[in-house]
Amino acid sequence: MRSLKTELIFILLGVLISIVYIFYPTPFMMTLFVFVAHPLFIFAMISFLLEVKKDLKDKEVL
Amino acid sequence: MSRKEAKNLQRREFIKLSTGAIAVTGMALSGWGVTELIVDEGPVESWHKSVCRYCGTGCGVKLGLTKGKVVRVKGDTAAHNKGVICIKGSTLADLTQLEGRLTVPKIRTEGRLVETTWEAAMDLIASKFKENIELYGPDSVAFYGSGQLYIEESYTANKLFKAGIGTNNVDGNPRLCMASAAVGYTQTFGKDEPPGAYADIDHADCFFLMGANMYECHPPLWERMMIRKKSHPQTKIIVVDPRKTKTAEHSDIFLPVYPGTDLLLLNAMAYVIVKEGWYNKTFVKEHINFHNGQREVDFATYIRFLEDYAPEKVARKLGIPPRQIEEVAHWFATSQATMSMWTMGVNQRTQGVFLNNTLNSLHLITGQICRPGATPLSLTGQSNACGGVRDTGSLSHILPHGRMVANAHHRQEMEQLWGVPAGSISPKPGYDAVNLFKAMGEEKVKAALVMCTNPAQSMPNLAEAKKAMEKCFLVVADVFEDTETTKLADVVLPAALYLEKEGVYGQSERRYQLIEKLMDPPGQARSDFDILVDFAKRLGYGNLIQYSTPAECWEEYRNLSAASKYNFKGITRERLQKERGIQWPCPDENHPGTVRRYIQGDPFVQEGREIQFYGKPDHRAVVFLRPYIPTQQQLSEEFPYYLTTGRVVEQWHTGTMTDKIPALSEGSGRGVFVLHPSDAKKLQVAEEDLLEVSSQYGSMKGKVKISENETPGVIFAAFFDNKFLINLIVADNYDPVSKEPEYKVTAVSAKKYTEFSTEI
Amino acid sequence: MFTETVQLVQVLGVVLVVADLILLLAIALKGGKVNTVVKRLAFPALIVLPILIAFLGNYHVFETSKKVKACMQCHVMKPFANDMLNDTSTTLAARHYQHNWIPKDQCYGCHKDYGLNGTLKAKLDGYRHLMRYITRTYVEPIQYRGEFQNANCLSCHQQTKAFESVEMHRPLSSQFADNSISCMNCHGRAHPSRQFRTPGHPHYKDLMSGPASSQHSEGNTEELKKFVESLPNN
Repeated sequence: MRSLKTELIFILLGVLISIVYIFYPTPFMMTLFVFVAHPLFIFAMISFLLEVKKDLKDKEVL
Repeated sequence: MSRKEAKNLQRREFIKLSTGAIAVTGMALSGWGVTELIVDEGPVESWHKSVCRYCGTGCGVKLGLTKGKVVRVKGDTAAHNKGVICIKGSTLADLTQLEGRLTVPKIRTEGRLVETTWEAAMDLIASKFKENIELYGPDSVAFYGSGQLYIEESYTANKLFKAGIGTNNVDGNPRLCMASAAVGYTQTFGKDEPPGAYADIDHADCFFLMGANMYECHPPLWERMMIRKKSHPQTKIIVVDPRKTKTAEHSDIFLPVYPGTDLLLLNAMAYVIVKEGWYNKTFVKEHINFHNGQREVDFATYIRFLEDYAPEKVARKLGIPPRQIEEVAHWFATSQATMSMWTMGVNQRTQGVFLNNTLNSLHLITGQICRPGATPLSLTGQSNACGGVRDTGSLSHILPHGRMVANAHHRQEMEQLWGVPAGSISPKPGYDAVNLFKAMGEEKVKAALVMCTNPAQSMPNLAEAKKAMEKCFLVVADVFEDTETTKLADVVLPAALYLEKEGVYGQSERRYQLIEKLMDPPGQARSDFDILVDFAKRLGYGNLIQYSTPAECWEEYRNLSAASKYNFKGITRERLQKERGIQWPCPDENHPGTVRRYIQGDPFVQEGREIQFYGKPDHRAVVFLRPYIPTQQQLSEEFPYYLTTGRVVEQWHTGTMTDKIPALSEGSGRGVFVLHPSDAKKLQVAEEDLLEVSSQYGSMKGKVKISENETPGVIFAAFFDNKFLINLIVADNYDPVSKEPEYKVTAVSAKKYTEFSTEI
Repeated sequence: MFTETVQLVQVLGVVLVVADLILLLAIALKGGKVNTVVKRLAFPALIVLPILIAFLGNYHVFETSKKVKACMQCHVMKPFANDMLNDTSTTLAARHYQHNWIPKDQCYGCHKDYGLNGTLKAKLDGYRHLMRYITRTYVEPIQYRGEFQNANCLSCHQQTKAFESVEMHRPLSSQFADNSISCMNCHGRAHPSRQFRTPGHPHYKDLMSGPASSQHSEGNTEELKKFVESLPNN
């Protein structure tokens, strides 16, 4: 498995947006949560799962 | 890890990060895009402002069209009704798509209506009218119109007949519903049409409803009243009605008076108000004259007149306790603002004018007028009885804008305004509705044009009226083929339905609203306006009726109004297209319209005058001393019950439109006799049994419905059902001044009908 | 116990976020080197905890947005809320409020379809409102796109005595169900009309500023007239 930097950054951003939103549910934060945090999570997770798959393939587990 | 590998990794990481950033932005934007695309906008392509077709409330509606069809109807929140309409208005979409439309002109040949061309039909009509006018004079022809024609249409017919043909035989169904209110206002204030407006409902603390079933007949106004009551729970609702209607059920005080006696109540209230000193002394001193019908009298005479109406003297006849009269008088006089509303229970009476006078008088002596919330307001039954018929003067005794046929000066004014030679307008008032049909029976009126109304179902003493119509050359313009009246017609003309033509409606509160054409009429159907313009040309009055579109006609009519106290010159077509109706007077294009008359804001009230009843020469309104005269329809051994007729919420008038709409006809059921359980017991009838009800005019059978809401001794029947023509047995006696028939009170007998029952 | 769900959400949120941050930090400290430890940490840090946090956030979206205050945060919503809170207003919303017909979350009470139990379309429409608001891509007076669902009214009113006793409701049940006849047709304007909510209208300022001063009187006819003239043709 190679670097997970991007995934880390995206998840970090998503998590921060979420927690700020939970404490300050302003329209702006809600929009960030709905329209930005979700894509960040989705991208990071898919990308991570692809890395895992590649890793497993490399190791011929899959 | 080698350097190369590290570099590779960095590059790959950079690509991943960039891809990620793009993907996230893409997802955010496409997410937004999806939410924009997925919105369920409903089935409507375009919304159009319009007005409801049915009653005189004149609700603003928004019609949603898709592919030229009305698919949605909603109340117009920007209009006076603030978005509230009723069940009938909610089904307007169905109305525009009904089957059974008349699409081709037809001429009766050997008893059958046979299709023909417009040319042939119009030629026949014109020649028949011309022939009769030549042989028997202009009074041998007549126009019987409707409070549902557009203003431009009634105005054109009125002008053609009165200024062209030279007969005042122009009457219509508003005679059957509004005439008493119109005469009442004119006598009291010098000008027809109410001083107040619907907006007063939002300010009143006491509602006095008499002979009006607003819950069923004017639901949006009822809802507005309920909103007032719910936000101001101390608001009192007083209902006077012989029937415990839905309206009465929701009242605070309900006075179930015997049919035909309510003038006793109004005079008794005046007695209490004066005796207790609850009248407004300054108002009486400054703004009122007293009049006994012959001459002016003083206040002392008025007090003496009222003495016969002390509550304890009249309570028994009214059938209510004296204390209740005192209570009602108290609320009426002492509330912050009292508003009266009434309709047919007051108007359709032999004392209709007197009742209207006295209702107005109660407001005058208590000063419950000319303030927000304090006003008398007669409600209209038809969509355009006020604007179309009362204001255009399309009744046999009046001319446009409050002028009288019998007044030489008024005739002269109209002749000048219409540019016709002096003497063109006959000084003789024409036939009013009841007498018009009698004149047809006596063959004095030989040809008549009936438009947008169904007299063969709506006239009282119907059997006589129908016989009379058979004798006359009857031309009927209607939307549907199967009305009771088209069955008697010699020529039927297919008319365009509302929305298939353009024109202006004027509702109860002096508000004129434009209805724009949104679709084409089916087949060869034409607007009543086009028919009238064509008819005028064929009769040789092309010079008199020069305009050819409703907009041009409006231009003429609007300008003409400037010569009267109705002045609505400022209500231009452009403003009507833009605004949600405007209330006259409105003398110039910058005038916002007049919500309340006779006070500041009304352009005819002089600067510095708070109140000015400018309809009267000395600017004082008149309180009439109106004695109670019992109706001719008195109970007797032969006729021990009262029959009273009315509407139900789902149906409108003779049901030609509403009865074809499934949701409405299903809701209303069929025509029945409704009885109180005690009467049902006396007559030994149960629900669904057949009852035979007879009056001096005839007898008819119908199913029984038992309801605790009826008053013992009173039988109620609605008049929408053409299989249950209740007017066959309704009395045709009428108010001597307004000539409005007394639909509400007919003495009848009733007995259970079995197939074996035979007369002995 | 937590009196408000929001507090519970906040505490849970902190716990989850802190846990995730620790894990993320632990991975980051490995300097991008992916070893067995990282592999073990990555799954909870990048998948499990973020999913839980997202769930929590979404729950929060539906919970906090039920509050009238939450609705009022967007200033375009102010006229609606201020009118509802105005004890002299006669709109349907205000009367529901005055009579305490809906004890809490009054906006949501009639706009339930945005909520958890509502349709996906309605929820997405709620998100659309957010985006429009943030990007300032809306025009006042705002307008309801589509049709207000009768189901919102019927969920409380159906089967009540007041509803059932009105005979004219009976023949219309199918029209109510398919929304072709709106409850609002007969029962009126839910909120101040669009005119009043148009910037420049004499009532607009009142409606924006607070509940106490907004009034539905006829106002100054001159002002109204001027305003009506300024409207585009419709």
